Amino acid sequence: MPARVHAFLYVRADDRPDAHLARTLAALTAQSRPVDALTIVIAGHAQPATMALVEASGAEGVVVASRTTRFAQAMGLAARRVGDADALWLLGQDTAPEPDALRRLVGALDVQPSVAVFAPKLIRWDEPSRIVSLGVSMTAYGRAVGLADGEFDQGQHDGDDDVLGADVRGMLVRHDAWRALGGIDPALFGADDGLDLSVRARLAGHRVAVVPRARLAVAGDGAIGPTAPLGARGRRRALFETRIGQRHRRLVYAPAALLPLHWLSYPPLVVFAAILALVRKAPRSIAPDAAATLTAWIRLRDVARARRRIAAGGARVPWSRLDALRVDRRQLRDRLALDGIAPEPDHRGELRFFSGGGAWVVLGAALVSIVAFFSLLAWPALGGGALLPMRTTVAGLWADAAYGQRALGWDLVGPADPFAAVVAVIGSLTAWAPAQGLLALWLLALPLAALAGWMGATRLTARAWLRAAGAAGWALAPPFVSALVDGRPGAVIAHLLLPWLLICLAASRRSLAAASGAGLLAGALLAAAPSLAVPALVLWLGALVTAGRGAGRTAWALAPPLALAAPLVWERAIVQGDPLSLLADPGAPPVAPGAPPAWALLGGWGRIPLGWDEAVHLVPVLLLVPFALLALLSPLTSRWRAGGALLAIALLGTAVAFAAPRIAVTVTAAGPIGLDPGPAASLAWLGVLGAAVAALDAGGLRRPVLRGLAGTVAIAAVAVAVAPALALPTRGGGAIQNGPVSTLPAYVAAVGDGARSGTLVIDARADGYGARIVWGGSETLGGQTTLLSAPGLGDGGTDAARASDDTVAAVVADLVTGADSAGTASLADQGIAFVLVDATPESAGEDAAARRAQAIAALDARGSLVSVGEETGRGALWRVGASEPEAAGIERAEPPASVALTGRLVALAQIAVMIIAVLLAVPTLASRRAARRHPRLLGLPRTARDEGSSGELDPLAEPLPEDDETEEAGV
Amino acid sequence: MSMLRAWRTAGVGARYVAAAAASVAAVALAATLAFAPPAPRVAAAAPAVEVLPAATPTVLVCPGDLLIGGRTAGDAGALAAAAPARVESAGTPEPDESPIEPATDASGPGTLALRAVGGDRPAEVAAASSSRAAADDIAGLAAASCAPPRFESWLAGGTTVPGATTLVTLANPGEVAASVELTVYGAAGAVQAPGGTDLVVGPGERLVVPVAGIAPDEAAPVVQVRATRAPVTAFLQYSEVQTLQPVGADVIAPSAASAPRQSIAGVRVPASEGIEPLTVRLLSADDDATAVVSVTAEGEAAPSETVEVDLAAGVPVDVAVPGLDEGAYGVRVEASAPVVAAARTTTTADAAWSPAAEALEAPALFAVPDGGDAELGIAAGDEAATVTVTDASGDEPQSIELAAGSYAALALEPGTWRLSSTTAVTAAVAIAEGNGAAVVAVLPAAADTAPVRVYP
Repeated sequence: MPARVHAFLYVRADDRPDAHLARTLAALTAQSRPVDALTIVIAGHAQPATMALVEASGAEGVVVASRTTRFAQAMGLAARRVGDADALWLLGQDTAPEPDALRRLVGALDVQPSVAVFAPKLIRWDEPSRIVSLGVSMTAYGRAVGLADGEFDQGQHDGDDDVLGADVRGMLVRHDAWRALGGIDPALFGADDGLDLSVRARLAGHRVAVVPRARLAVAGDGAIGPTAPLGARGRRRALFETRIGQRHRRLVYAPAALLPLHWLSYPPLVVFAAILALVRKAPRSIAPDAAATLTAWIRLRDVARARRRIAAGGARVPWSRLDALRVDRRQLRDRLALDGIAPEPDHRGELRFFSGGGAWVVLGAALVSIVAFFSLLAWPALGGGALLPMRTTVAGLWADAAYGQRALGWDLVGPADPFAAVVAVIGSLTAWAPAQGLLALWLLALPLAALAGWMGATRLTARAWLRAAGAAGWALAPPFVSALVDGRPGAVIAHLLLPWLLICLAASRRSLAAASGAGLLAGALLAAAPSLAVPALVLWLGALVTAGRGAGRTAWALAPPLALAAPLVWERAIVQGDPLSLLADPGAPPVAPGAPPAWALLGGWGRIPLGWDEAVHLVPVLLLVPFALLALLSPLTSRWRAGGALLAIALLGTAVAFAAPRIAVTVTAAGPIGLDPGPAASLAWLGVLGAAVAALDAGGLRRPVLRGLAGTVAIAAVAVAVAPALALPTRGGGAIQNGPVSTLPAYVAAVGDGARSGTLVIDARADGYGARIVWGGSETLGGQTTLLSAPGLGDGGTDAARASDDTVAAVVADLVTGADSAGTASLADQGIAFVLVDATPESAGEDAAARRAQAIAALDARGSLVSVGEETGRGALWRVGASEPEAAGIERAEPPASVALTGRLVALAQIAVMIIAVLLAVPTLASRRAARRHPRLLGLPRTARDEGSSGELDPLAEPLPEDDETEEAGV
Repeated sequence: MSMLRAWRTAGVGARYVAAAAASVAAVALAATLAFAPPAPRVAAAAPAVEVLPAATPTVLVCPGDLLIGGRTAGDAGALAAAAPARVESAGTPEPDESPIEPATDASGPGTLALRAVGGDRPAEVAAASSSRAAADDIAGLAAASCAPPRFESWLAGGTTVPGATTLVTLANPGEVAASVELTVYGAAGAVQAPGGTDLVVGPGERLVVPVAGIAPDEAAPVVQVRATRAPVTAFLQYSEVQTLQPVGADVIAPSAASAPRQSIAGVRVPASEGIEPLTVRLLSADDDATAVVSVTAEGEAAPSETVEVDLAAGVPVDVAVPGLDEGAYGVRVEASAPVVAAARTTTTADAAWSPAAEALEAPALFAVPDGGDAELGIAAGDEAATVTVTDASGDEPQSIELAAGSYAALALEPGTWRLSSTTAVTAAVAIAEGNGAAVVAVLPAAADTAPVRVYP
């Protein structure tokens, strides 16, 4: 008796399945061996057109179910209609069998009695030569692996027979086995329906076979079987289905003893999978992955039901018998390797850092650095200029970087400057002695700048000598050398980061890793030099506008700087309504107050050239003219795109450098002072240097010898211009000095280090007294806060700030006049254990000296203060509290719980964003491979880019003929 | 093809034009920026808070009982009270009295400090004390106004010749110990001796140091008291015995700070029986100087007597002013260098020291102690003045018109009085009781609290 086949066709009405359904029904009608019965299950409310198709199909029955009924449940409903059929054929709206398909399947059914499940070869709906699925296996850990998915069908699998499992679409299942197995597990979402059914059949002692010659075209609607990963939604859906199948099956297949362990592992698995997704630069897979895992995690009843189903199926075969059919590690690797086997175009060539002379330039810069900053090698800490001591512990460094009580001020609670986080990172690199981090930064600054300059130059030229020239030009940049000698950490850090930021920003549209790297770099850059906020925003917008489809990636670059600065932006712009003060330079007050003259700014110096006599003040500017001329050549060359963009950057930088000193938001004892134009001058220098390199690379001068000469002259002129500044430290000039370990007297540093007590520092001025409160053993670089140094353009900030200003003023006035008041009592209550009257510089004048003497006399006469040191070199010091124990009990009050909570939440959010950014920025093999698909050079003409993408090596990356050797000798 | 080339050429040409234009624009912009006037600045203001600090407490320390040594058998250095002090005090608010304890066993009895804390303005306190001794070893009327503590005091008066006792009393009414250094200027110039340096006066304590221990046998000493860490109130207590006959005792308050011009009021020359009824002690501490001492009688504008004297640096000189009739006189000293001055009038049985007084620019409260007939002497400055004296509550006003440089006297009852003047004057109260005489200076009121500017 021929076997009776009952076909079930599942239609999801929501899909508007008419086109697919029509082809499927037509294919069913065209079968050389027709089905004996057809039942159509419609989930949801079908359109009339669909109903018409269904009615014309000759189905023996039509089951209409609710729209939430998935295939598994639908089969549960419809299987009652099977009657005396021998086999069930599982079809969907988008499964069109070839005419012979059923004949071949039934043929196999007839001759292979031990096989309960037969699976056809699934091919693409519109591309019959591509296999969608032919047998599915799984790894030892239960991950489903398609055996031939995506391969071109060349008959290579047509001999296959025995498989562990198969895709559910088009599956022919013996009716008795179906009944015994209990049908499809409704807890699965399509992807692993067939695999799970097959595994259960195997466990029940049946076999599962593929019938490769029976072919079925599938569209991947997802009504039955897995959704095809097409489009963003399809990919998300497919991933969700795959993942929930995997997670559910793991719980179902696991030995009972291990079940709790598996179940407990799911929440951490979510986090782990998220981290992995970030490293793989696939952040979009996080949500479906987590949703799938958590769904599987909470559906314990479904797990129990599925485990019972396996048991009920009669587990006659031990799991170990299935092992032979699983894919092992080697097969899996081969399978994965197939994906990446396609030859990747490589447009990059070798970087040639060592062979191209980059290493030599960096080494040379290191030598110059050691000679110029020789004394730094012996210093325990760096000071002078805008530098201050570092905290002595890593915990202290990071506490300074967190929201909460600030290290300065009477009762200041608020966000930290983002710069504190940068300082904390630098200090943490030398965790054993954070002060050495700053020293190391200074000693390594020149070689690091050379490296950054060299890397930047690789984006503009492939010529070794030009790259070297770019490196030298960046390391010897006047604003950079000034910042080093002046001791302005923000400008130094900004200069070191700028080339990397631009490299990453330029690549951000095509690489999430680069975008994330650009974000991190921008965060650090803007923390160190907030005055660059406007040009950075302009550059980012430029990158965004030109990013095209990669705009999403480029947009992400904004997230890390926003996250870093958000608390301060909130406080400044929203709470205080004073966004301009956000531009205030962080750290100690800048060294050179007042706006530098225009000629110095135009000359790219950012300030009056160091080490030059005033009499020759135009010479150091004129020395930079060769560079400017070369830069102006660049728009005339074939590299006019890059040259023009770089000149625009130079213009932007110069404009900001001019504007910066006119914005005086920082207030010092000497009055308000303008922003440091140094970082903007660095940006301008980057534009000029880059444009000059681009001009020389593109042959802005026709004759190679002339080009070499021009480059040499330009670099030599810059070297001459900065040489006097570089020589300053060795001649005992310059602002940097063997830094103090603490800005307070040693007694306070010893007692107050790590303690939570504060010091009231009073400095006598000609017309009054300055007062500030320092918490801990010293003022620190990270502890500085622009909330204090830039009190705001309005009427002095918030009410709270004014109130504490008034309190401080009242206390100080009482202290210095010897008034009878509760002054010292409020000091102790506040946690201030010391009062220091600063040593007044002679330049402050006689009035200040008289005020100081009066203050000292008044403080001396107070019984509640005990003089600790008359003149400690840093001033006269008193301890609050008549006795030692009384003094020891003076501590700063813990912040209120709400502040601590806010601090924790802010830190959590910031750390989360930073971790995500770092994970995304970590380069992987795949991301590096992807990068190699694009030429290293930026701003190439479109034709060159097109040629480059044809698979050839970038012609410009090749060693260039004729001029390479002669010109290398010239630099 | 040629079309393409044409396009390309045109493109290159356009680029050149654009680049040239950009270069020109850049140079023009550069030139403009270089020579443009500086743009307006956006500048934050340094937050400054102007604070009126709470008033400094007004503290006065009284000289205390008249001291005499040598009364305790077996301990010649021990001091004892020869005559109790009667203190007349008043103030708004009412001052608190706190005792000043003797710092050492040899410091004799203690004294008292008066302390009052004002509101917006410093408290106004005036106090003076007087003692009348009449014993075999000490006799005379001693009086002085209670004085605020200072970091530097000049004490001109007394003598350490045999038979005379001059003691420096150093009282510290403050909260922390003061360390005090005494310099005695004598015939040999400035003398510092171990007994007069590194003296520590604890808070609320009084130390008594005999001047003879530092500079013995000095006819005309001037003592400079310098305190650090806390100010002290210093007085001299002087008593003298000549051939078993006590010839005088007095408490000498600090003179006005060293200055080229000094004015001494409250000089009352007795009927001239002995010799040198009036001597003026002068010291130019640092420089050689020439000083002119002019003495103006009550009611006169022109000096009745003028003496010119050369002063060697660091050597005090007693200048006798001869030929004066009985009466009240004002003494003015004008010198070519800063000097310290005090005047002494001598009766047959007592001596009265009148230190150079500080100018009174604001209304001053002063106390006239009980003990004899009191007469307020007022010396005008370089300008004419109208002086009004009222009692403490402002009643019973008495006005006196003074011509520039003139001197006036006004009899007063014991009690507290207020003196206000249109221009700066100096004033002191001379007290006479039988043959005893003493002078109580009128001290200026504590300066008003000045606002303090703080940059927080």
